[in-house]
Amino acid sequence: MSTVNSSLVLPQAGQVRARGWAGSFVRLLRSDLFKLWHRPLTWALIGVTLFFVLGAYLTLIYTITNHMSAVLPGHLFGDDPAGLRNVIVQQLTLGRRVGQGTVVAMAGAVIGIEFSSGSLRVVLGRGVRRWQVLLAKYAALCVFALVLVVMATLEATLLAALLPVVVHGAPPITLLNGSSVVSIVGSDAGILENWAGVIALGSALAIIGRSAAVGIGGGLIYLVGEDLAGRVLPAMSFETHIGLWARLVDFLFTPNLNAFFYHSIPFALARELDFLDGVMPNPMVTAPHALVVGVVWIVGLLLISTALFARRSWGS
Amino acid sequence: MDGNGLVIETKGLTKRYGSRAAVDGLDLEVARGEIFGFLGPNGAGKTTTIRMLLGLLEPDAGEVRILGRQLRRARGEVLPLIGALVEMPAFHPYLSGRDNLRALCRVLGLEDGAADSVLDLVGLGADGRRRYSTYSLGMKQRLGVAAALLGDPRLLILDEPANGLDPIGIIEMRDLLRRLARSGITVFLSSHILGEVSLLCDRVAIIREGRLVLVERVDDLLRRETVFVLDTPDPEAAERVLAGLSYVKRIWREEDRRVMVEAPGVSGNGIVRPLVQASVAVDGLRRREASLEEIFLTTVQEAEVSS
Repeated sequence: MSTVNSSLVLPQAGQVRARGWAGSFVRLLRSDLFKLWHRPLTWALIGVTLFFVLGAYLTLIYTITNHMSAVLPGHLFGDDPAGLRNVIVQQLTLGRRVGQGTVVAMAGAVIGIEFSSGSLRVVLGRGVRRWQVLLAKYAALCVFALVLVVMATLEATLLAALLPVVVHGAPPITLLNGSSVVSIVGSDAGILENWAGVIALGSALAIIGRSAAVGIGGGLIYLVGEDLAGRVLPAMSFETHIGLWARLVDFLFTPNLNAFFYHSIPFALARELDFLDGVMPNPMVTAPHALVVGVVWIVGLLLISTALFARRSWGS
Repeated sequence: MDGNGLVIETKGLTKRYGSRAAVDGLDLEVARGEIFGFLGPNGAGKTTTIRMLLGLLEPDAGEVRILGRQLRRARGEVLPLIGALVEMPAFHPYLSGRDNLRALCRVLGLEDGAADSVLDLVGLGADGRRRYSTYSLGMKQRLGVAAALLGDPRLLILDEPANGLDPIGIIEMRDLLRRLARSGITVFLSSHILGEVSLLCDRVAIIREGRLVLVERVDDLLRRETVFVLDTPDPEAAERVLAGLSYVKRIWREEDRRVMVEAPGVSGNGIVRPLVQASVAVDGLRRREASLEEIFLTTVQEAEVSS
C-alpha cells in the first residue's frame, strides 16, 4: 500500500446529482447497463444468438436450393416483397427461439448472481429501495433484449440482401417496402413481448431459488419442457378423448407466452410455426386476446418476484 | 441534522431469530467525529446490529436514529450519507476494481472521477484496472473501504476493515481512518484485532449475546484495568493464595514462573503482603496496564458468569 494517497480529498457532495424517485431509477438503470456492457457473458450470449440467425440463414439457403420453386413469385420466398419479408422473418424465428435461452440465462445471471454474491448489499446499504433495484434490473434486461432483437434483425436483413448473390432468383433487398417493414417490426414486437415474459420467468425463478443456477436452469427446463409437453399432451388428449384434458391443454398451451408472437408474424410462416418453432398455432385466439394473456403472465411473474425480493433480507 | 451531536443512537434495539435474541435491547450512542470500536465474540450480535444500522435488517423492537433522524422514517435521506463495509466485500468478479466503483458512482449520481480519487486514497490506484476476481483479500478489503468512501459520507460503518491486510496495510488503514475522523467523519468500527482497536478508537463498546456489557473511553479503560506481573519460584502456591483474595479479578500464567494478576484499584502491597504471610517467595512484582485484549476477555468472562 505504498502508493496510498496522503491527501484526503473525498468526492464532494456537490458532485452528487439531484435525487428523487425518477432520478434514482435512471441512475440504477445506468449502473445496470454499465455492468451489462462490461460483462463478457453479455457479448457471448449475443454472439450465440447471432450465430443461430446465421444458422437459420444457411438452412434457408439449403432449403431453397433443394426446392427452387420456393423462390418463384407467389411462393413462400418468392421474388416479391412478401417473399423478401418471409426470408427475413424466418431467420428471426430461430433467432427468437435461441434468444429465449439467451435472455433467460441473462435474467437468471443478472438477478441470481447479485443475490447470491451479496453485491446488492453495497447498493441497498445506500438507501435504495429493493423494488427500485429490481425494476431497474428488469428495465436493463429489456434494453438488452431490445438490442438483441435489433442486432438480429439487422443481421437477418443484411444476410437477406446477400441472398440473391448465393441463390439465383431470390428476392432482392430493393423489394423492401413499407408493408414489409411493418411486418418485420410486428415480428420484432412479438419477439420482444415473448422475451419480456422469459425475463420475468428467469428472474422469478432466480429470486425464488435465491440462485442464478435455479433461474437459468429452471428457465431453460421450462422452455424445453413446454415444447415437449406441447407435443405430448395434445397427442395424449387425442388418444384419451377426454374433454377436460383437451381443455387443460388449451388452457396451458394455447394462450401461453408464445401466443402473441404467433399472431405477430406473417400467416404463411405462422401456419408452419409449430414445425419451425414449437409454437402451437390456434386461430381461435385473437391477437388482442393473446397480447392480454402474455401481459397477464408477465405482470404476474413480475409481481410475485418483486414482492419476494422486497420482503427478503439480502445476504443474511 | 445531528442537532444533539449524536451520529448513531439506538434505544432498546432488538432482533430475534426464533426464540434466540441476536440483539437484545441495545442502547448505543456514538458522537460526531468519534472513532467508535464495537467489539464482541463471534455470534455476539455485532453484524446483526450493523445490518440494522444500515436498514438491511428490520429490528423487532427499538429504534435507530442516524444523524439525528429516525432511520425507519428517513432512510432515503440518511442512508446515502453512510458508507459501509459489511462482512466480506462483495463486488462483481468480472469487472475491474475501478469499474465496480464506476458502477456504484452511477447509482450515487457521482462522476467517474470519484472512483479514481477513492482508489488513490486507499492505495489501489495502480491496481484499479485489474479484474476484481484477481484481487487478494487485502485488496478486496481496500476496495470495500473505497466504495464506502464514495459519496462524501458523514458516517463510516466498517466491519473488520483490517481483515486480510498486511502489517503495513493495517498501519496505512489506521492512518486513513484517523484522517477521516479528523475531517469530521464518524467511524463505527468492528474488529477482532484488539490491539488495533486500542490504538485507533476513542471509545469502545463490548457486546455479548446481543447485550451491551461495557461502553467506555479506551484511555480510561486501559488506565483503570491494572495487571500485576508477579515473578515467583512457586507459582502454584501463589495462585492458591491470590485466588482467595476478594479484590483479585483474574489470575493467569504467562510463563513457568510468572503469574499475571488482575486487581483493579489495589496497590502492590495488596498482592505482596498476603503472599509473604503465606510464606510464598516473591522474586519480583511490577505493575502493567492491561491490554484491550485482556480487558475484553475479562469483561466477556464476567458477563458469562453473571448470566
